[in-house]
Amino acid sequence: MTRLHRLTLAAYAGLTSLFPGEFGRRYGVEMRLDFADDLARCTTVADLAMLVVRACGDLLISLAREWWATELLKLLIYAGTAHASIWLIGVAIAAWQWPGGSRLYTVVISFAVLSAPGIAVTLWLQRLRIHHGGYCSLGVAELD
Amino acid sequence: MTPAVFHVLLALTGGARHGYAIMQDVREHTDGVLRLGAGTLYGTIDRLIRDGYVREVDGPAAESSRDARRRFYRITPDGRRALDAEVERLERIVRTARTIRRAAKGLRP
Repeated sequence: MTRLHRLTLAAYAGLTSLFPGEFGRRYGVEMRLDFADDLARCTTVADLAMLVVRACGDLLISLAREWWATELLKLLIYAGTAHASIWLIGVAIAAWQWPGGSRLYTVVISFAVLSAPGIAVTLWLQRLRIHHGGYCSLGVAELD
Repeated sequence: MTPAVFHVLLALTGGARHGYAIMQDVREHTDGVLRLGAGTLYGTIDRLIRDGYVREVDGPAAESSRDARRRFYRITPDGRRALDAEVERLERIVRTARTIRRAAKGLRP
């Protein structure tokens, strides 16, 4: 194994450690073993470059999917969206220059800061109630 | 059923396999058209295990410590039924497509 191969493997190992806890612990070692086997088959720099490009694309998509599956990312996105929405409403209200507009703006922003986590959790729980199936649920439905 | 799920289940009908063997089988079955990356493969296996379509089993005695670290997976009866249902669905689609194409050819002047 060349120095370039070793560096590539180390970089890949570093990236696989970014998977969420349970998934990374369960499959991280196997992913690194599989990548090392693919790496050992690369004899030219072009082969290596192709493997790295494919692996990066795969990791990017699967990292997003696995983090999304943990619900943590969903919660952060919902909180961010709720927060941004209320903030924008506050900006719109302030722009109308109502009497006491700046005071109203402060109230809306305070409301945004205080209510965003609550809104996010509510949306998240609501979504869980609606979408409870995995992506294999279609197959199960067909069997039933 | 996604192509990844379909081909992973199909690869496992031949018996218990570890992840790398599944990847190679899928590449071979699809003439290299579908190349599953490790992240996609293990994400798919993880969901299939949770859905009860695949289970982890003991592999054959490992020849090296490297092989011992690999996990082996086997399709369950539920997984086999889901695969059969999907194959049947695909066959129906092909039959319908052939019927429509034959009818279209018959209408052609």
